[in-house]
Amino acid sequence: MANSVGRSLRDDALSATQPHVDVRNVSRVFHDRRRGVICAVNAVSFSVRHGEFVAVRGPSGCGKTTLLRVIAALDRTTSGDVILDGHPYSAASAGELTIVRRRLGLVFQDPVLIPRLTVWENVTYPLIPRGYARRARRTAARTVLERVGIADLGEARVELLSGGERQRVGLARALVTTPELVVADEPTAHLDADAARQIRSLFTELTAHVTVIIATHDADLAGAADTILELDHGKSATG
Amino acid sequence: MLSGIDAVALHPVRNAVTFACLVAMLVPYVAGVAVARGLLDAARGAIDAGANVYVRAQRFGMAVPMPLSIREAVAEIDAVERVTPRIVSPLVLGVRGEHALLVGVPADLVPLAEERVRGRLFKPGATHEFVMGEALASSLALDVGARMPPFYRSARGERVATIVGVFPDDASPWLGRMVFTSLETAAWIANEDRAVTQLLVACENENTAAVTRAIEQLPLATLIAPGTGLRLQATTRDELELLLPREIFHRESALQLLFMLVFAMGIPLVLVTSGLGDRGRRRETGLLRATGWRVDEILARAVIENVAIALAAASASIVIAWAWLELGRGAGIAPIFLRAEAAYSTSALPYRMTPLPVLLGVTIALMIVLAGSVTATWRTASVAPSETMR
Ligand SMILES: Nc1ncnc2c1ncn2[C@@H]1O[C@H](COP(=O)(O)OP(=O)(O)O)[C@@H](O)[C@H]1O
Ligand SMILES: [Mg+2]
Repeated sequence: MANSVGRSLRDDALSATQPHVDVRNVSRVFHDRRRGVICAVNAVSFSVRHGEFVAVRGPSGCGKTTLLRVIAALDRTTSGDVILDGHPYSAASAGELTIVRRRLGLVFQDPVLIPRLTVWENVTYPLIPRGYARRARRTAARTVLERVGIADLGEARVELLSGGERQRVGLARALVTTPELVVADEPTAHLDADAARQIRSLFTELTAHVTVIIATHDADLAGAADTILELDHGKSATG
Repeated sequence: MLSGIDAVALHPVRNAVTFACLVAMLVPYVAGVAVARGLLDAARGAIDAGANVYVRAQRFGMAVPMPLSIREAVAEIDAVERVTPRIVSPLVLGVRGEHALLVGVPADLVPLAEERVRGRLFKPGATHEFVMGEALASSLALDVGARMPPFYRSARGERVATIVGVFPDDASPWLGRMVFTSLETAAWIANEDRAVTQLLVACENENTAAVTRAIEQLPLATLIAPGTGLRLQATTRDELELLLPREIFHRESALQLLFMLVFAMGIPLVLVTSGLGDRGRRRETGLLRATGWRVDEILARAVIENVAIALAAASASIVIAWAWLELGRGAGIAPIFLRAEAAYSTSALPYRMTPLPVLLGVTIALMIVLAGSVTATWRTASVAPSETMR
């Protein structure tokens, strides 16, 4: 017990001095056969404190998704580096990037759910490689589904869900591993106003516990953020 | 990892098609090889019941009847215990042209247990009495006591034969279409009055080689007449055992080859089916990667999924092949191995399922399915998992 207190004290000390996520001069260049060289993200730098809520905003095609992919270790940078808790991605092997991904929660614009599985099975699929047995997955699902407000949908098939419900399942899946950092790409883009508002409030609750980086068009969602990063043609327009 | 087994249900169409392809490839193979093995067993059994040395006559490489005088010469060779002449002649009977094999033998040498024969065995001499297999009798709609229409003519006119016995044909596929009769009746029908088709020579086992040599060195020029061009061919039981199944072996290896070919063609087919719903699978793979699955964990999941499919398909194939052979009497398989003129009956198509070819089939099925799906999974799993975040 004493040990864990000691550790959390040290973590607090660390988080005071070190950013949670440090994006340093990141560029991502695509080579498209028809369009030639596309600089989707162009020398973007910013850092995110532990527990901070950052919104990345900008018009469609400005590079939000590309930037988030790089932060979520789904894609490598062309130049520059992302440093998570002091560990630079550029130095990480493919296997180490998988470990990084296990510490993140990802929410997608369309929450890629596996058809023919129930809600609770979808939500806990990331727990399988972490060695959870079926029973433990069920328990974990119950907690997290309650947290996103769809406790009663656990046994439902995902094909039958509404857009808002699907996005809640996606969020539950991101949270089931109790990540320190949640990366979300336009989580409200495909939702009607009502569903968007509910997802928005889930995100604002979330920021009490974890670091959140979100890409969004949604002015209200961005408004809830501690920091807004404006992207324009791959370049950061604000700090 | 149970997730691999669970994954089978996630892609029902793709997996059902893969399963069906595998079954379609495996069933004919398993059934075919089982029949080939069964026929080999039957052939070996038939030989073991026979004599030590078989003697036939040839002229210019063609089998010809052999003068009966040779029988006496062979009987006089040292160490020969018994010489049984046999006349074998193919017959076509009835309006539907049923193939049968007429076998003329001395009455006491019919390879049938008398108590199993319905009716009785034929009497010696030119009695024109037939004992025939059940399959043949029923396809001719004849039974014990019936008279055969005068199907044969010879220089001596016509004779009506009587069926005096019918025997069950569950012992071998050939037996069912055999007609046993006395040597004299067979000679009459085959128009080989002073000749026989073959001699069955019995001797002590250790003398087989010496007897064979002595038979082949018989002075035919003085025994029959000079310049007939006749040659004797003596075959030992061991040699026959090698010779007789050769055709079956031949067909079995042809079948194996065919199977390989089918499988070779099956690979692209399975590749296509494993690509069914490829987009969904790619998204799924991307999702797994994005949510922290390692490439090897995703591969293990795909391997288990596909091993489960291959094993299920292999088990189903074995059961279906068995049902085909046992309940369906191997309909359609027999002609691959037995020529129509061989006059066999399919009511007793023998088969033996041996583990080795079944295992081989299963292994190949596994390899194909794994090659098809695991490479696809590996390709998508090893690229950056950014697909999912679109
Ligand atoms: N894999 C890719 N290959 C080529 N071009 C890409 C790829 N991903 C994104 N882009 C391009 O990079 C730019 C930024 O895209 P994206 O990050 O998706 O923008 P946003 O999410 O802000 O709409 C766009 O012009 C897009 O067409
Ligand atoms: Mg986007």
